[in-house]
Amino acid sequence: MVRSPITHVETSSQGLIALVCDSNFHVTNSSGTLVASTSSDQNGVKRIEEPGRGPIVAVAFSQDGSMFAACTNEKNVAIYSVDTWSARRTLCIAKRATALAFDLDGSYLLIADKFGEVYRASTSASDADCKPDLLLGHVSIVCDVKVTFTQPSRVLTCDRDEKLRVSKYPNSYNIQSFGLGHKEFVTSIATAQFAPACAVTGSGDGTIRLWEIESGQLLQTIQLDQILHKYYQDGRAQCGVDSFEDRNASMERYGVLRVRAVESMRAFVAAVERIPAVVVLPFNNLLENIHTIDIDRAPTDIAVAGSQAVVSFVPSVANGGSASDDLVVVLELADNGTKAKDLTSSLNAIPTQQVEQVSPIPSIYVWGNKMYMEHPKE
Amino acid sequence: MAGEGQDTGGPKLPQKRYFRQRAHVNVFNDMIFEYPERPSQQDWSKYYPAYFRPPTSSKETKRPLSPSSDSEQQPKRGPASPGSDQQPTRVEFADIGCGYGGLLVALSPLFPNTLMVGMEIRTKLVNYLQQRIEALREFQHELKKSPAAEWVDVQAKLDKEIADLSKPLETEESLDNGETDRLVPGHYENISAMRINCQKYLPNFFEKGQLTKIFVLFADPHFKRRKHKARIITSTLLAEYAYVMRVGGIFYMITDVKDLYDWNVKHLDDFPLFERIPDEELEHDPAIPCVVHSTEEGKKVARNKGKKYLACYRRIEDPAD
Repeated sequence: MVRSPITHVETSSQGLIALVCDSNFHVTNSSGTLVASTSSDQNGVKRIEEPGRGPIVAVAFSQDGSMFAACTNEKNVAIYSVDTWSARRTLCIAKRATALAFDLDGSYLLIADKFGEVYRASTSASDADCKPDLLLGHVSIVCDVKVTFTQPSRVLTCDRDEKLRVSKYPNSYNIQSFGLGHKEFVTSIATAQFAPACAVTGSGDGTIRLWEIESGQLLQTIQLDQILHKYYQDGRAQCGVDSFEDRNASMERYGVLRVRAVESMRAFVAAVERIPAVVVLPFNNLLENIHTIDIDRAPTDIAVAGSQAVVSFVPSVANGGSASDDLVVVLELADNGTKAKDLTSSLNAIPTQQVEQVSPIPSIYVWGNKMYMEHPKE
Repeated sequence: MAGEGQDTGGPKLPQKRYFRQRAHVNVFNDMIFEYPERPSQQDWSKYYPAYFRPPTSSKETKRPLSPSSDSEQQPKRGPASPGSDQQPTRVEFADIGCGYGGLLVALSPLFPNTLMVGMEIRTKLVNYLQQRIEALREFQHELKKSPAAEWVDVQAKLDKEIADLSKPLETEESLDNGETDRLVPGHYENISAMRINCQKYLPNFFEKGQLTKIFVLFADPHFKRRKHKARIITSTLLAEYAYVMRVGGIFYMITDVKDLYDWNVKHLDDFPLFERIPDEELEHDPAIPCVVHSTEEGKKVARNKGKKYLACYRRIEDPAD
């Protein structure tokens, strides 16, 4: 038996850490003690009702940490109150979700989907019968959604067609700007309270870009090959062998999985598919002194708790995964990225799902790349 | 080249029968298009060579040229040529799904100082329209050299074309509303066509508030319910049209399909950044006769005695601001 990998990591402003493993999620406090879980085999912890059937595809905490939302592949969304871990609202959505985000005061949950639309659903239990409103739409897959820290609020969306869109909120029919410059699908958006006027995006085009939100102006482009090529040179890059499914395993690629802000350090961090490292991007009007922290295996996701980064891994390549595999590592970003040993072992000690064989995690290029790019001859 | 007849040396209009293509395109498919990263990087010189120099080096900024710098005689502008005499520096009208280009060819002399672009997803139709505009420009170029060449009366020409719509059609090519015998204001240098999926790439070409007119004329109805998101007017796509339009700009919509009209009007009426223009106000809009009568599709509907449903909307300030 082998352990199923953690696919999503999410952290709250109150120090909670949520780890998503297939159709379950487990929540710990900041020292790694399990406080609640959807899994029935966790003795003594609060049992959370599952959000619905199927693997969980997106999760989010509200800004104040009082709510948590999860969405399954079967289009079930649940919004939980963190104090009781009971579902305050559940709903069914029409299309498969790709990302969730609460607005700043937590009145609404924004749900982005593969059909290119973003809906917002009231988080209030008394609105249980209200259908979510359509907020905006792209003629493309919307890959991520975020609400800015600016006043007035903006909603940021990015899509499979290279675009970052800045819309007013909640009057999102009024587009403030477009951030144009990415050459491939844009996977992740990060906003930060230390730089409320800016957004950072990651893409399948091998870049991380810094934008001015109001104007959509591109302020900076970080070419990841310059920073990460060494992982291909020394053979540590994991090119889709066993661990995840990638049609073009031989191509050198730097697809950004996630960018996040590290509020306490005025920095951003990024996880890049195949690359066993965390990219740290300190912010000083621009992204400067960019460096990497090595980790054991290629990441599946990254989240930030205080000055710590919680990184989840793809299954180990060497033995096709094992029952004792580590699923996550916690790095002390303020201490040159040294491993936070106690928290790492607590998180890895959580009993998670065991399976006969781990199915490969699909590469972001499987859905992200245009067909004519993946199969140029066809 | 398709459509070439015997060689007489002069300019020749392309023939439509060589450029047929079925009406439906799946706009969600991954297709290869040429588009700039952002509007400032678009090279308009190949579309409007009379107005833009090709970028020579990355440092030199593109400067518009005078379209009549090669000829001393300035066209006498008839009463039907609104707009200032200032040289245009950017595209202001977009015909979305321009088809064979009947609207652009008709509008060109009415707004000789306005750059307009036709955007169409079907390759063959774009090729046809590009050749058609190229030929019309060549005819004008030849006429400019001839001292006997006359200027067309734009309004009279349009009136005659509209009157002719009730007559039986001799050949399909006689539908062509391009002027080959007389000089026209603008000399067709202000119109152009490109192959693009507007539903995806409009913000790559136009800055916020750049366009003063958008035309969506006789669009693909996409009758099936599950295809409705492919329609050119949806509540979410209207946000992108509103983004590229200047406040006060006009969105023109016409169709012969009542279902599509109802759908379009419902979405436009519900959209907070557009306001319906009352029909009586439209009577004074010089673009309206072209919108109703000049497109190839509009002529076909007229010949079949079909009904046309028109609705125009003004881009307004956000009521929520």
